[in-house]
Amino acid sequence: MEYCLTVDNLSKNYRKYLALDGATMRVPIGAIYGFIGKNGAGKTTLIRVINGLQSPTSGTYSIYGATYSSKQIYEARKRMGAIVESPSLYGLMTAKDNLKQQYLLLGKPSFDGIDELLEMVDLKDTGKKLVKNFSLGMRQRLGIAIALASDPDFVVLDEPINGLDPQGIVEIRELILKLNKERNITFLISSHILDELSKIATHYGFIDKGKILKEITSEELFASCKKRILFKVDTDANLCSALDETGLEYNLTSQLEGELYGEISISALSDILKSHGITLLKVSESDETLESYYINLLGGEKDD
Amino acid sequence: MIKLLRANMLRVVKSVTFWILLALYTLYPIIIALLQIDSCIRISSDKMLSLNYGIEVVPMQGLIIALLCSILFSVDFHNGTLRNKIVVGHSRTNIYLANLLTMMIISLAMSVIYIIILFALGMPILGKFTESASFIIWTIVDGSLMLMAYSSLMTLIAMTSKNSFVALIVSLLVLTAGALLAYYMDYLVSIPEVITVVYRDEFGEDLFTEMVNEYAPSKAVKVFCRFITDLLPSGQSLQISGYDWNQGWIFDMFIRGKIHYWQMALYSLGFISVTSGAGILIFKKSNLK
Repeated sequence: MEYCLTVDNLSKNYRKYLALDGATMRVPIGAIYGFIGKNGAGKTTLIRVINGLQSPTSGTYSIYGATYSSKQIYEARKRMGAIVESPSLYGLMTAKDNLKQQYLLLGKPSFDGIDELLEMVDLKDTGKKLVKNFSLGMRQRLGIAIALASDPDFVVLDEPINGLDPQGIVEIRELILKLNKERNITFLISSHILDELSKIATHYGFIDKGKILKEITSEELFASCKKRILFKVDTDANLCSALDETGLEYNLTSQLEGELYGEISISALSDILKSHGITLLKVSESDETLESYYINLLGGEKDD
Repeated sequence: MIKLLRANMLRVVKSVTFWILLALYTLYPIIIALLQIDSCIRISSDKMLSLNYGIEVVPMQGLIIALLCSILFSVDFHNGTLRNKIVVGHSRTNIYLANLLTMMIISLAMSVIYIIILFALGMPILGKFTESASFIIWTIVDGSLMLMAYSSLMTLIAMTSKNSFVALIVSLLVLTAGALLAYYMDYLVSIPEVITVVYRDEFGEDLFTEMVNEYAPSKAVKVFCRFITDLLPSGQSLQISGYDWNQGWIFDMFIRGKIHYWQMALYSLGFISVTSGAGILIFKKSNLK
């Protein structure tokens, strides 16, 4: 598999604080990589480092095969676009002038394509309105337009849907999917909104305390996400024996309630319980979500 | 580098503050020239040229450079727009040098505009230049290098403080401290080693005698003070503008013959190299957000 970003044993210290602790990750070309971690886990630090805003204390990373300390990294970065933390915009300029700035930075021979970019992010009608008067969603969309100005192959978006309204979230999601499919742009997206991320990501990387805990594909995640059956019974006598008979993993959440992991028909479960003198009072099915997978991975700790 | 310069220049042109500052700066020679029409005090075109770089103007030049550095560069840190440059592959050295060049170009452009106005409007009113061509050339060369040294210093402050308000305050403090230091050093240099003392004898006659001035600094101290005055942009502007502690503003600088023209040019180049080198080093090592 070819990777646009490889990170190897990357560490970053701020004096005594260890923000990244030997992080290792791989972002395959063409992926939408969901980068997940709680506040302070090291997501933004890693994003800052790979964007050249900060130097690693130790370890290495490479973009399209160019290691960060080599001269080729400057060429490799030309294939990148990014929004780190918040969109980087000039508040006293219009959307068009902000894009003109970016075009000049990129050395583009003309300003052709700016109108198309503005149309793509639905900002073509902003006219002379200054960016400082834009809503958060408009800023976010303009930030994405700026990140796309270089026709990048790899785009890094740090919390791109933070503060957006539901309509804005849907628009950004659709834009990312469209760019990934039509232009084969690889995305690295950090987000707290796991439900939203699970709708678009093809790969996931989980980070905690500066370490990448796990990297999996969405298929692997789907396969490992267990079916869950939530139940309530009338008595706890012989309950464990009955549950053992199902052959599934289980967890008792209270004296009369519990969860079974795996697939079993309701009637089969009811029959087993009845054979042990237990009546099934309530039952429901649930799929394990990305969020519960993440929480389990972290050992039950909840996101900040 | 050219890409960065072009992007910076677009920002300058789009900045309303820049045009206001430019208007204020160019109004100065116009007002001075117009004031001469009804004034009995005649200021020559030579003097007006030296004032372009001199202490009467440089606080304004320095202020303009400090303000623009704050608006253009510190804002890049504040808005995060500096990230846009780094993310697309511009090296920090190039970003720093492009910013430095931008400030140098702006300060020199302002100076050129001043000279053009002086030639167009000042000379018909104030008269032609009376000084030699070498005086005019050295004034422009030293003055331009001095403005570039100011630009280099202000760029260093803006690019290392990362905050527009802090950068502006530090710049103003440095400007003020530099001006005061230059005045003081120049004053120390001007203290005579021998003074004439007048006293009245018993017959009521005034007698003049020369004696060693015990308050005069030693020769080594004077050499050091002179070096500092030649080195600092504020000290250079003081000299270019023709200020003398004993005689006030001297218009004929070659008669005074005190100005170290070529040394000042070299010192400015050294000053620019050191401040830029230090700025690049600090900027390259700094963590950006």
